Amino acid sequence: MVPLPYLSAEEADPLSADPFVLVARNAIEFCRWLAIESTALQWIQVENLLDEPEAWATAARKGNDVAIDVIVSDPASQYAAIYRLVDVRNVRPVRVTIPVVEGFLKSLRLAISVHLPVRLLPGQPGPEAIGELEEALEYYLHDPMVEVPVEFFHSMLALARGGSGPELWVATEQDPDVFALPDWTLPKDVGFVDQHIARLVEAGAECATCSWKVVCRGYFKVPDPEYSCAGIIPLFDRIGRAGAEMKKDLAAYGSTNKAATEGSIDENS
Amino acid sequence: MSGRTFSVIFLPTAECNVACEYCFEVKEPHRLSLDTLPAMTKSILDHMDQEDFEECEIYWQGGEAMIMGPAWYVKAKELMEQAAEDRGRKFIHYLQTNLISYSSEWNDVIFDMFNGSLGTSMDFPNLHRKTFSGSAEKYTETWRARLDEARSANIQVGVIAVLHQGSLDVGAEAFYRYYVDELGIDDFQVNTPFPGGPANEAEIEFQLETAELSHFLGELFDVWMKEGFDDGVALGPFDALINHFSGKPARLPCIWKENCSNQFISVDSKGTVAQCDCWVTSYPDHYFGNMFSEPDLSRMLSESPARKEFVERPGKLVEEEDCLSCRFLSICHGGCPVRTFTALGTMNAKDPYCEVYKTVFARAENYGGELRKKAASPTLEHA
Repeated sequence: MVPLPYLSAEEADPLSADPFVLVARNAIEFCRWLAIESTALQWIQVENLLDEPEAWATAARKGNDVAIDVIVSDPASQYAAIYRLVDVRNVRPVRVTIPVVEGFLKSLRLAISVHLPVRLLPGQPGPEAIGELEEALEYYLHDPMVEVPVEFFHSMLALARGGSGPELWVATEQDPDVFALPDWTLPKDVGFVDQHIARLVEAGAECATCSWKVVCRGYFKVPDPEYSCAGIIPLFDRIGRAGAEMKKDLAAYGSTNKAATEGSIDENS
Repeated sequence: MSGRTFSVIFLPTAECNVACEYCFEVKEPHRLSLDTLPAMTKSILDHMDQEDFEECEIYWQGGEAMIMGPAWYVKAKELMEQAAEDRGRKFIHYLQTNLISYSSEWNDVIFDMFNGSLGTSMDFPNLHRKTFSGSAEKYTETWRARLDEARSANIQVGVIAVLHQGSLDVGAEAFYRYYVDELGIDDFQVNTPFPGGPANEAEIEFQLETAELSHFLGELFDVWMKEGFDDGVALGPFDALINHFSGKPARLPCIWKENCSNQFISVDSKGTVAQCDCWVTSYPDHYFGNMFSEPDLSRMLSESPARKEFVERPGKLVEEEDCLSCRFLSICHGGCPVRTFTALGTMNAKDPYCEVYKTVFARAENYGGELRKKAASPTLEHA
């Protein structure tokens, strides 16, 4: 499989037959690509433009209906600007990508409140960010006002309840075998994730005995392989418990529903 | 086409045929001319082209909208429809009237232009809607007679009720029974009051104590769920909230939108453009511009400093108020700018009815959750 390339405005060719993601870093590039019809263009990754209201006014108007992924580079201070995406959401799919850094919860809350799907990029979070991740997970799992998917929670929960879904590297769109990321600094070897987790296990990293190894595959050991997952594993455990509860509830619902249906047939017969 | 809809609250006249005590509108004797309507229509259609709005909802209000007479609307519709068709756009018309001057002469235009329906207003008890002679009783009597006539002609009538201290004093049960049982209304809406425009004595009746108003609305919600919901009685905004919380498509009222500035404007008979009828009739400092002197509506809206304040309000509220930590942010966004402005002198604060809304939202969430559970296990009822 050829990884999906992320191309700058200079590199991208709208007539290309090969799928690509456009990375727009200024308003002129962004607005120009909103007017271009290209079957190869999968989505536009928008960087550093949240503070430019004119760009969002354009994105909410005419043009193609290509999806956009808006990177909130400073989620602790840029959260109010997410309101600028409301009109854009009405004319094209919009997702926000939020790095898990101290203060990210503000952007997450606002994105959810204006019904925008979210991709969290956990990286290697520090203690403050882990505290917010715990709060974010509680919000995602238990508040009925949350009506949009929040990745990576969403895919991990789907897996935990026995459903299908991508593992963490793919859910966060950071597996270099699938996504040819523009800012990827590690070796671009084919099978990077397989090699990475194999190396960690061989080196006796905590991954070797971690029950989440199959879905995480050493995600939190990049770039620093010594990063401690002490704050991360309880989060995954919590997702695991929630998934197990959902699985149990769904099974109970299925059997109750079946019994009820049979009961109603009996009444009718 | 984007499929998006734009709305214009059109005030063809500021004149009125009654003298409600709490009305905050400045009633100038001015009417929109059919000679100037084409230019206004063109401005709106240009804006729809520019912003890629497929449809525009026109809410005809006043003053009193029926003062213009049915023949005026027939011509206005012809003119606007032709212009819209030429541009591949569509206008959808709605009428809000006090009904006092309704007669059967209106029926054709109501069915042809307004899809056989109209909106009107009546409070309970009616203490403040008055005729020019100062009689609330005469007003109520006339309104009820017109209501009956309109319904006899098969016109669908929705009623807006503005709450005041008298409503709270009679209680939710009596309030509900008046509209549903006594008037036979199956579609009505309760609005929270606000003291718009210059202060007057009647406004004291409309400055309601938050806890008392919350209690009243909570009880009204209960009465409606118990007695009206299953029978198809529509009671706004509770019905929209129930839809929202039971997972159905919901059109929440403008006060709870992410940002009302993205959804509609109001235009008066002189071409003045402002956020809504409340602003266009009462607050000149917040006008966006004038359609006759600035025909490029898109430019006016994008460049107006007054409108910028509306656009930026929700972002300011999450930065400066406690809205971001409120679990109901997604269905409130800080509430109504005009309610806030009239109470606090600034729109950059959260709606003074915040606690009232939270009570109503919580009630709706509980009822909506019950309905969801019921819908998820339909066969259990048979077992």
